[in-house]
Amino acid sequence: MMSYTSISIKERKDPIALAMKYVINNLGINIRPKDAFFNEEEKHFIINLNAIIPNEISPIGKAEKSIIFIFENIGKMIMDKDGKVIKSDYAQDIEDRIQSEFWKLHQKVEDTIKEYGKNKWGRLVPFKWFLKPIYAIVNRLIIDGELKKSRLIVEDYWKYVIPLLDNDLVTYDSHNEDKLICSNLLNGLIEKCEDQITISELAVGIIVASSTDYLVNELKVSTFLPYIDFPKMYYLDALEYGEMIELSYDDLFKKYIRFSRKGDSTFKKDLNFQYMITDLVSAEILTENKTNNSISGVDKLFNEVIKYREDILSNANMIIEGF
Amino acid sequence: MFNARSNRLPPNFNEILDNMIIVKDGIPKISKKLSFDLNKYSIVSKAADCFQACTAMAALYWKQNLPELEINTEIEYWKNFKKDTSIRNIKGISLKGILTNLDLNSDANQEPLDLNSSSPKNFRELPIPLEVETKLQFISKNPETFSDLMPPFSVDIPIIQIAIYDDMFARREITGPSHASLISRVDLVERKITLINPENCNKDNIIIERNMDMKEFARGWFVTGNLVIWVYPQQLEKKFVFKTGSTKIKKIKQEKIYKYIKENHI
Repeated sequence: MMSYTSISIKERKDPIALAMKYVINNLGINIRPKDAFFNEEEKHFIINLNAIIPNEISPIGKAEKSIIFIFENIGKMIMDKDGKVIKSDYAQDIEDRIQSEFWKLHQKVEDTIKEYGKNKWGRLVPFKWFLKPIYAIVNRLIIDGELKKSRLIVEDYWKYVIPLLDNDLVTYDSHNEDKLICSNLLNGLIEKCEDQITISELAVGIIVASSTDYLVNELKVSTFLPYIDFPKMYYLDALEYGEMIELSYDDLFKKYIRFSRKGDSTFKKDLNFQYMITDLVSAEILTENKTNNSISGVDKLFNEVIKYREDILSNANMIIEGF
Repeated sequence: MFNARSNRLPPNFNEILDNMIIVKDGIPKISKKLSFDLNKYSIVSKAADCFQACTAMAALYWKQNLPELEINTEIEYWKNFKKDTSIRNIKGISLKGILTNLDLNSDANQEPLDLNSSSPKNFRELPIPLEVETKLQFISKNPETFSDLMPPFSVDIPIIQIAIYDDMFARREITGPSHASLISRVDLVERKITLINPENCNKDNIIIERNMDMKEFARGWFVTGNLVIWVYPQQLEKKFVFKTGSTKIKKIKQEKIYKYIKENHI
């Protein structure tokens, strides 16, 4: 006859312990119950959740540093008085909120990179490919000196003119509301540049720097986002570390995958990252050391982003050096 | 929203701590030591994949102790498992994510597992969910005291316990991320707990077991609800008596996954 062994233990039954059990099973190891309040009317516990997100920076040839970001009240769950979770935020909703908090925090660095690349973005292939109508509109404007709004609407090109208007690259003719003409800004570019290709590249660069949300949300063009997000991952790590560092391509790629903005999951597989790095290196946004497969930055851009170090770290819990 | 604050321990934590380390009548004061060949089966964690590393070592432990189990012993397989389930989201991997790999597809994570669909989105990367592949059970528990860590050591082959705790808070009293280690031994006399921490390895990538003071460990363990995950083969399940209903729920799901695999000829 088979003998049976009974294993029974006494467990913690407080709401935080029970919530942590739910968290590890369903939400994720970086989520932690913060506090529990009993709602007398509803007779249930409301448990707030924190997210504790580590960022480990392991530069080549330098000591590792860890930075811990704590996002408070990132989610919530409701538990009945018997310890049963009756409602909880979805894991994906929590993920989105953390993502959004990070993007808010990283916005200044992103803006700096976009601004720095203003003269370069328009030269790069994915921008040329996916924003082709904008290049075409600028070219037509340079050649014809004017564009008819009604015609653009009929041709379904109007949505591509909006970012040009938003960035003061084109303007309405004061005598004819159907007529669009070059703005002073565009005329300035025409005077400075010798060929119309360069002018349209600069115009696209200005739009990318200032109207990313419009391009992504309205024009549904997001293929170029890795060109901004990938260098951002490098400069954020360098900024958090406090100096220019060399990061392995693999480490940086992993971080990019982890923090990449929602909606670009297909590019993770499809985009040729090595080709993108070559582009970013040629645009002098990143540098590459092929001997140890590492990525580094450029001094001029790093000197811009380092200004935000205090802003970002004031929101981080701590830095552990040599951890 | 953003405010970097520390973990909060209750004002009476010292009292709680005294109760946690108390020796209970009829409970051994010193546990057995987990019999596990770290020279052979060390799965080192280097990038926020401690939980996966512990899961892999738990599977290898059972294979080492019950060779008849159909568990892959190739380190390469487990390195791939770690890689395939590595954190591709910020909130970190969940047990559900490790077992079914659903976390990798965040959209699918909101939906119940569609077992009637042959869509690969249900099982990305890992063709067979770990739960099915290893036939291991993973049950989370919140032992109230260190004595409650003893019963899993008391059976013929000790049940693996993966402790989830805040290692940084334990060691430095600074809030850090949740960390996973295997509990190798519990000593209520010396008040030491021996951990197999996947981050604590030598230059040859062999994990070195480390003793930690119980009071120190308790600090980091308390803030994660004294959480441990028991890992044991399903075939031993009948031998144990559980008080919770979770086993039953899990078994139903397990049968559905088997059905899915059978129907889809995986």
